Amino acid sequence: MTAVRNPFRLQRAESIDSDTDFVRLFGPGVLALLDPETLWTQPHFIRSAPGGGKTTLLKLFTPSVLQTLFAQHAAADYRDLFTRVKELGALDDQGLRVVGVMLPCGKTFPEIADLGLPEARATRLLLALLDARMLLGALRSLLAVHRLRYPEDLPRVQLAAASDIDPRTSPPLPCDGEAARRWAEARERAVCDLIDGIGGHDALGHDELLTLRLLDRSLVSVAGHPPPARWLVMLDDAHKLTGLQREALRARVIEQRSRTSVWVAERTEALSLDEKTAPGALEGRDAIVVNVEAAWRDHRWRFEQTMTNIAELRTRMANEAATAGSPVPSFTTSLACSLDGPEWTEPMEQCLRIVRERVERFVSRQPAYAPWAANLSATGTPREQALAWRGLEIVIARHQRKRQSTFDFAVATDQADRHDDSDVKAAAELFLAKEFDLPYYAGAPVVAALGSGNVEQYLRIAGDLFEEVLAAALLRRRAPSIEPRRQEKVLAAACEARLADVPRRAADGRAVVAFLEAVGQFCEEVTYQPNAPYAPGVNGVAISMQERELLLDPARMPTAQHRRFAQVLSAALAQNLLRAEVDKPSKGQRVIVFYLNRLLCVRHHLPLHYGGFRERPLRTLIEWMERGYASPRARELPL
Amino acid sequence: MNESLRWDPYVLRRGEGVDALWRDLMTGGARDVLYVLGLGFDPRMCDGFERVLAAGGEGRRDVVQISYGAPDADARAELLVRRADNDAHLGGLLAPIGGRRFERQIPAPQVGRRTDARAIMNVLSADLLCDYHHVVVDVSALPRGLYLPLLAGLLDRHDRAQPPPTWNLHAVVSHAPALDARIVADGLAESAHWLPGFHGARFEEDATEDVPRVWIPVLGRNQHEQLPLASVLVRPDEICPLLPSPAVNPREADDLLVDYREVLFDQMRVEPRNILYASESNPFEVYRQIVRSVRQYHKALRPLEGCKVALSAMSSKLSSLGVLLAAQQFKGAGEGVAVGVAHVEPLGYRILDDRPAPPPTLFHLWLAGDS
Repeated sequence: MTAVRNPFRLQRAESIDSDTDFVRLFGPGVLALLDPETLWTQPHFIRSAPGGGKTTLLKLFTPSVLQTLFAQHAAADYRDLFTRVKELGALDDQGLRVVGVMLPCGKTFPEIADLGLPEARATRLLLALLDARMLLGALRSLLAVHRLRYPEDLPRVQLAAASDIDPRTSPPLPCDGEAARRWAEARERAVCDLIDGIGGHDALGHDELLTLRLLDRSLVSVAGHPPPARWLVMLDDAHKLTGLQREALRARVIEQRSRTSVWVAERTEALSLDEKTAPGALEGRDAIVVNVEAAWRDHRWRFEQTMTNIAELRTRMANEAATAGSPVPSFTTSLACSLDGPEWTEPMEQCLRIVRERVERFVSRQPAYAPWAANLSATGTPREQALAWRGLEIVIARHQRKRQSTFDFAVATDQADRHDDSDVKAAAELFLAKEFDLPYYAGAPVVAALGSGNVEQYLRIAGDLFEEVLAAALLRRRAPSIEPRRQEKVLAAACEARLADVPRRAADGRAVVAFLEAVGQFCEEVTYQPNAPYAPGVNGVAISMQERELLLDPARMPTAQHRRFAQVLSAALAQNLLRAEVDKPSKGQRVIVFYLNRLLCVRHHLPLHYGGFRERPLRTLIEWMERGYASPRARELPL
Repeated sequence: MNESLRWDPYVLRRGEGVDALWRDLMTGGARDVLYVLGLGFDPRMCDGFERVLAAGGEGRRDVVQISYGAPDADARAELLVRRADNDAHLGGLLAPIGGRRFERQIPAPQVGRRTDARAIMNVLSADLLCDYHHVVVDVSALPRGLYLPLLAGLLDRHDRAQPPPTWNLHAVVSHAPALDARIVADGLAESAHWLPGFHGARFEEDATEDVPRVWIPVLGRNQHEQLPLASVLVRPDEICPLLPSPAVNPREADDLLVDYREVLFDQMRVEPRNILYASESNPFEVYRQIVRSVRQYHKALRPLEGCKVALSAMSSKLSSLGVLLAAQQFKGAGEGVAVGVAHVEPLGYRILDDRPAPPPTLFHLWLAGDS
């Protein structure tokens, strides 16, 4: 592969054209999403937003990549990946244990649905074309695994006879690989000609996936070699099929109960709103559903670890390609995040002075709080002290609000210590950063969190930061690093770029952006109330599960605005701009929460944790989509 | 391989030549004309039909008005107003002559589907076509994702009809490069697709996966995002961009090369010697240049089983008709090359600049029939 200056820009599997580089850049942590107990025994549906890493995952299991990994497995750079792939059963110390066949579903199959044929006939054509391409793929992969040439060595492939396979929809068994190839190519040509309007006929068609049966029975083998341990058929980009086609494919894959492993990769955009927000109803004994972003969210530390690993692999590659400047020792350590250094002393002292004076002025008017202020420690760095005073300000505001509602005017001193609670401290940090324009979004863990469980999003923002690192390295700084304020600027620009991309990627994109903006403004207003009632802050909204039901059935939606909102919500979920958590308890009822993509939190200066949300009626969210967010009250004045 | 050209000689008229052609076509008795146009915001929508009416003559002058896409809440208000104005203007042209207006609504495409392009291929029934002497497709206010399949479908039907049909097929475009440059896509589909009516499915066959892929994008302005998207679909082994030269702006080709330098040479690694040139104002020259190049590649790559070719119309509508003609050429018997048309669909449009543009020039191509 040509030397790449910024390997973080290699975001898609297709843009890495060398198997060696692909294997080298593959972050093994993603394999933890796969369960070796069920990986080969049940069909898998692997789902994510665009850029979630599905194609990269599938590509790992293709013959040429596995062979590359096996050839390199003794080298330190590849040992971890080899070990994990071996643990999954795809490799052993002798070689490949699986013959992977990868098929893109976006190629030609969707056009079958556009022919206007009756559904049953269109489905049979779909299966016929799938069978033809699956067989062609199996022949190629089998020869590749045995390091034979395609098509020259096809006569060495044998397809054995089977009495229960319909000869009308199969190659003329028994036959060699060449005859099988001719049969499959003729099938493919017939369907393609029908699509192109050249001729063809729609009478041909299959009722099942015949190739899976051939592979199940070990009827396909290379003369002189043992049959493969297992076959793996991987269908990529299944979201490009129509809804009916996806359903037909899913039904056949599950009903056939094939011994051949079948993995189907699809984007969440193809799912209905019900499927996108369903509480795990699709999983079960028939199939395994792996929702990549959800899996990462459930193991955030694992995502951070995996992304860190990927970042360091790419940094190493960049160092090899660099012809000038200092090498970059590490991407993560290049991201400075401390605000305790000497360069921050003066700004922090100024923050401390302003906040303390503000609290002291208040206390002079309300002497009952004097003991709270007196209890505050004068030790610690200026930053620590500023956080403490700001935390006290929040606690006082909470107490004030409580007093007003309960008419309890006693000021107990034990409540003053609440400023040390973790949620108050987190809110204090956020409020201080906003008030004094201090950097908040900086450091490797924050960058990983801003990836929002999506590999491509992480690589994009890490790539922007890496440009800064490269610039610093070019200036021959011994330890190139980016200071926090600069990181935040880069991340803010990345957030704007992500939003600007939405109208291009999402249907009704402008309405999606308007709705996201409204949600962000609402969360900002709620978060920055002086008493920080939902500390550290709010970055999601929720509707009741009953109102969710209303959005799932077009027939039940009372207005056109409901229908449009359902589409907008669906588009936002599909693009990972919102993330849904279903069936959460909230004030005695069950709700579905929609969290903003973490990167969008930067625009409204929101915290990055999960758990902070507010419930609103569905009609309110629809109003936001149509008219934007309108604050119900002016902002409260600070103390 | 076939060495002949289907459109040789060809009939191309421009400006006043169009008027003269229509006067000739309308002599010798009543001649019925079916004028097919798109209901859109483009101010050139009715230009061609006005010229047909101005030519006089006897016979019916009916219109098939194609509406496409759903009324879009998100569509810019100014475009909707312009569309309504065009609609009223067309009505004003038809009323005095008693011309009929057949309205055809093409369903809006669903995400990732091309049902609209397939639907437009059947928008004119055989009975309707046979009722007229001349069928004119005015592409001025139609998106190319629709008019290319429409014209391809009509040419196929004309070619396959037994006995040979009595209707002639014409294509008309009101050409204004300055105005074209001001109308830009407002959002794009996420990926490119193969236009129906051509051989996109054949291009994608696994059976010919190893056959070299040649891509000839015919380039105009403002295609920086479309180029990479189409490239992902085509996965070309050779790229031969076709640039307009000669052109109204004598430096147009140079300006485009500078404009696309990064995407063509840095990202796609195009070989400068692969660049083709054809006249901006002659789609038949675009057609010839493409056909010649494809035949040369196919011959040179015969040891590798030839090549398969993708074309892309990323230029003015006038030049895009050259893409249509070239793709049609290779559908003929004996050609032996699969040619698909790769296209990136805009999600909407906006007008960059509302200043008055230089007046357009009408171009007329006679595609099929003997009058």
